[in-house]
Amino acid sequence: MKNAWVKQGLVGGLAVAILAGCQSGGGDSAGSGDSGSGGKEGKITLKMARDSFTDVHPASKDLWMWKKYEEKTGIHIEWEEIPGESSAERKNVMLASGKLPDAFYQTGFSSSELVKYGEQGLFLPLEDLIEQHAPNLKQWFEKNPEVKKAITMPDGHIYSLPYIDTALPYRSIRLYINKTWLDNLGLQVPKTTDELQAALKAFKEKDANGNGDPNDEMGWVMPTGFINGMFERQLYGSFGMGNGGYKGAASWIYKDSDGEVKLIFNDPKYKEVLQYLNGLFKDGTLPQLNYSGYEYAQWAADGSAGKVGAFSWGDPHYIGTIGAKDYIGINVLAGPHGDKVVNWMDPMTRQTSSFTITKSNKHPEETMEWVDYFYGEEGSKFGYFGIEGETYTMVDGKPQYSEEIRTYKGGVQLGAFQYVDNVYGGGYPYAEPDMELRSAVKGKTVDEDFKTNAAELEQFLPEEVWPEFSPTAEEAKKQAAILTDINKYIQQMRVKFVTGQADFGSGWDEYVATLDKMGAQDYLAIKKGQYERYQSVK
Amino acid sequence: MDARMEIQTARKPSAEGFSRRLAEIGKQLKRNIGLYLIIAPAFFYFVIWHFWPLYGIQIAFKDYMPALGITGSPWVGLEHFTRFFRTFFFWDILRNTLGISVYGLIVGIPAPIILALMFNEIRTKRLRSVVQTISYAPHFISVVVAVGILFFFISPTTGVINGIITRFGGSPIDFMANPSHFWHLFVWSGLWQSIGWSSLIYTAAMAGIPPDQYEAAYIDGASRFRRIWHVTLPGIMPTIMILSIMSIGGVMNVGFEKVLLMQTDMNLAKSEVISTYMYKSGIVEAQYSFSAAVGLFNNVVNFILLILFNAIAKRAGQTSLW
Amino acid sequence: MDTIKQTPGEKAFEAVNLTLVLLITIILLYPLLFVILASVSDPRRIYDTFLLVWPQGFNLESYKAIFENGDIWIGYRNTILYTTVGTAINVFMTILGAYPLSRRRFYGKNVFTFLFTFTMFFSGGLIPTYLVNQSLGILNSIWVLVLPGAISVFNLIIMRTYFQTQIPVELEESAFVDGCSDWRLLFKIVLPLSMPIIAVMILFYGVGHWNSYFDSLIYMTDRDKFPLQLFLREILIKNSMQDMLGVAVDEQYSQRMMAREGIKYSIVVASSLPLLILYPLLSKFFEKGILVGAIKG
Repeated sequence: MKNAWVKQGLVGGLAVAILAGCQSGGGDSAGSGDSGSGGKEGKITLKMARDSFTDVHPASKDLWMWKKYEEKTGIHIEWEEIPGESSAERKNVMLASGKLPDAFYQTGFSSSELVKYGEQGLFLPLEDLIEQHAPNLKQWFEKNPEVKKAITMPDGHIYSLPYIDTALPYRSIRLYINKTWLDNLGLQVPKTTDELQAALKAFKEKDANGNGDPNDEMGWVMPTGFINGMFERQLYGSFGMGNGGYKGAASWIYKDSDGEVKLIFNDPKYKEVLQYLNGLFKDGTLPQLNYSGYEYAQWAADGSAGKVGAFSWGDPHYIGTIGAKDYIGINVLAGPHGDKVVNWMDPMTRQTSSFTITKSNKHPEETMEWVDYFYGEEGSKFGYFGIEGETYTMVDGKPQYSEEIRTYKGGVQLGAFQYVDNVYGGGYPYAEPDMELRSAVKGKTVDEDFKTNAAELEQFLPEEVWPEFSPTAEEAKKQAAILTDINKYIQQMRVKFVTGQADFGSGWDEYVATLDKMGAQDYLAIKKGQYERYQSVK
Repeated sequence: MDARMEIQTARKPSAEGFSRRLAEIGKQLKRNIGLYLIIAPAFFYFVIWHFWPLYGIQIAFKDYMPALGITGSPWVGLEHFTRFFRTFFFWDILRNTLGISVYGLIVGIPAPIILALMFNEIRTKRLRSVVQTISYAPHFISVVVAVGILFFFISPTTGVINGIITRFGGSPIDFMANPSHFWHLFVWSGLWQSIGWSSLIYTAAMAGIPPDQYEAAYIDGASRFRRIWHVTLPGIMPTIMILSIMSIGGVMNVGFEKVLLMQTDMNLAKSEVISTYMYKSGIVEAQYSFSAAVGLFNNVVNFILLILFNAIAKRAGQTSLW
Repeated sequence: MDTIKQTPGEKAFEAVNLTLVLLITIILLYPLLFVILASVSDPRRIYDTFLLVWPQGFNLESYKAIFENGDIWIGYRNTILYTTVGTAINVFMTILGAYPLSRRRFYGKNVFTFLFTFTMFFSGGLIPTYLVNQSLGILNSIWVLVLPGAISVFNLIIMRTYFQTQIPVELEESAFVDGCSDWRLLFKIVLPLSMPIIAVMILFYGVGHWNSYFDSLIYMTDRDKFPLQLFLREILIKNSMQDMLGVAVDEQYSQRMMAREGIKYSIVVASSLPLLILYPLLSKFFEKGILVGAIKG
């Protein structure tokens, strides 16, 4: 009888610590004046553990990018590739058996794991190393203090390196609405929540896809379970709960206009969100499939058959090729009280634990230099595009992947992935290049890529975009216990509110009271404390 | 047989009696030395891979941190257990776990027996072999695929079941949306996957029943039914008893992968079991010790039930584990 | 049994039995048929109709996806190796454990039974077991896959029950009178009489090894030692790595996901086909057992 050990679904990405050796012939970004550590006699070998993607591209030891990088830095990496499915158990076992690699690359650790292992000395504190050996990363701290704040743990130390992306479209999602149907019915792209409701209703009633069957149009629909994290969260921004960004919403907190940090799930504004969704449900434009057995493959099939009115994602391709063809992205809707905030926005530090250095590491300085390269402009481009002349060429001042990559059987992204690492999977210890370049390399502009007006995003950013606040060990225990129950309760209740099985009068009051019994106020207190600590980091 | 009688007569109360007993024990040991040798490798196997790691059970009472190792991690006593019992949904998840299990047992114990009996009565060897192979093939389908197929069949838009319902004028039922459907869907789809495989054991047991017993029954004028009732069933009764007892010893273990796949927001009230709850609480925070504690609790309950039912079986004069 | 004549009552019984069996077989069979049909269909068309009795858009894409990757053959090779070695060890060890426990004269049998059963319920867990294996130095080798799981108590109890009911004391006694030792008795007389249960054990343990992947996930670090299931799961799981909510996907994402649907089915076929052939072969042992039993009677 085997115990099924708790699988942690969080696998951010093994932070492959790219310890980039300094070198920089190009003299850009600070710190290139480093004395080349590659000049040491004897090759340094570092053992790094990472999540494996070996079924879609060569193992890291054979990957073009790493081979080139070894030539550049003189540091040899011995990769241990962990099959993604088991990474939680493997991690535990690795840590327990004492056989630590020198670094964890692209592996995600939760904040409490970082704190625990940092305090026990398993992971080295990195602030000093950064100060002395990571000039590129230091520059990021100086220009964007929020990056440093995001990775600083409650004990004041930094135990891991961030995954940084400045591009707003990559950090947010949009509501993709069927433009063809809008055109068919002569409707404008909705700008408010009311207009959206009307448009979805019209889709349903007026045979928007024009095939004669009045009943096959669906409103907003996605595979079961997505609505909670996608559409519902987007709406927080239209109902006044957007300040705090995506990670705030994911922790059920926001900052109200009075400057107070508040809970979302028992807020009257949340009630309005659920009432809005209930309205859609009653219209018939929010199918019950969102909450019960509807799988991705079936949804995508329905999408290509021209049955889906709206969905939400970072880009339109999620539903298939019809996404880019027929849909257009709405970045933000104005709510009934005029609130207009892109709530679903990740902070610039998309991941806080992309790279950790363990106590087994005999060359922490070189390791830090090795990874710091990727936070500079040159390293950033290297990780995504490769080397000019080899994997890409410059066309009209913009990079374009080589012919071989562009014509790769599985598509451009996978094609690039056969050479460079940082185009698939996310969560690497590096800073993404500019978004214009990323779209250009695929042959598009940013707006074309995302089917939207990307400039809007900056206009309607929340005032503050929080990372996930790091908890102390005590806080972690408490909030975990409270959250598990609260999340479960909300999961059950919200669908009842939306589908009308629970009423918004006494039903809502009872719901709020139960949440308090589960410890909602204690949770809020913890979060407030964490917020204060976050603000106080210099 | 003789040994037993010998022991009974040696009833002298006193030191002399004691050394007599010791001598008896020694005799028993010597008699069975061949068997001890035979069982030795198996015994060592258990010692190395099952008893040696047992020290890990402490994890349930500690706040385990890999860097400190098991011995170095701090004790927290019953903290994890209290936390588990205090959770808001404790009774719900316990009820669901037991409900699904017991329902599964009530359906799942007799069904393979009946199927095996039916197979046994097929006279054509070829046909029997074919249907038996087909019957256990579902066992090989991975749980992900099995659930996928289930969803496909019960889909409110494209499923066969609802197709039949609408054909007869009804309106489609969204099976996954209603909590009260969950247990039925879970148990019966489980039966579909396991019935053939489970029946194999009974088939093997039946194969061991000497044919002359059937001949004797036939000569006595017993019909097919009566032959089954009086020859086959008693012949496999020990197997039935043992398997039933062991199944009861698994009642707290509702496998989490399948439940997780079948859970939706709408049926949570009846579909959250201990294992899925643990999985979700693990996502919020890496909780190795907590899951160890809950696992221990499950195992203790299972074991107690096993001992209980084993004793009942013994009392009833049936085969028992020990 | 074939010599027994049939009364009309018997004939009716058979007819009813046969009908029921066939009905059940169809219910059990259809979803399997579905799997096979889906595995050779165009994945995008699987949802087109709600009854699939014929492949929709016959193609072998799903199979190509699995087999064009050379790793699969390494997986097959390893799995065959692990399964044969593992099952042999399993059956051997289980016999050694089950036989003594089945003898009434075995002094201390209840103690042993209790101890063994105890391990079914209480275990130290993954980490202590890992550490034990580490101390034994068997990490990343075939031994860590076949030794820790050498005996399943469940199977052991089943085998013990079989021995208890099928091997009567009289047999033992007459053997001892002939000067037979316990070992010879076991291997020369008892085992040949136990073919049905051994066949079942081979099947149970064999299938367990064939389908296992978790242990390899934890213990194997060399890719060329991975078993089949690990490679198969990789193919499935990989795409979901990008399922970080909202993460920008590329244009081919949806196609890959759809292809994955079809692959789900072809994986089931590719991994279970070899096993399904096993039972008919083993069923000979069931027949043999009956024959021998008749002789001994």
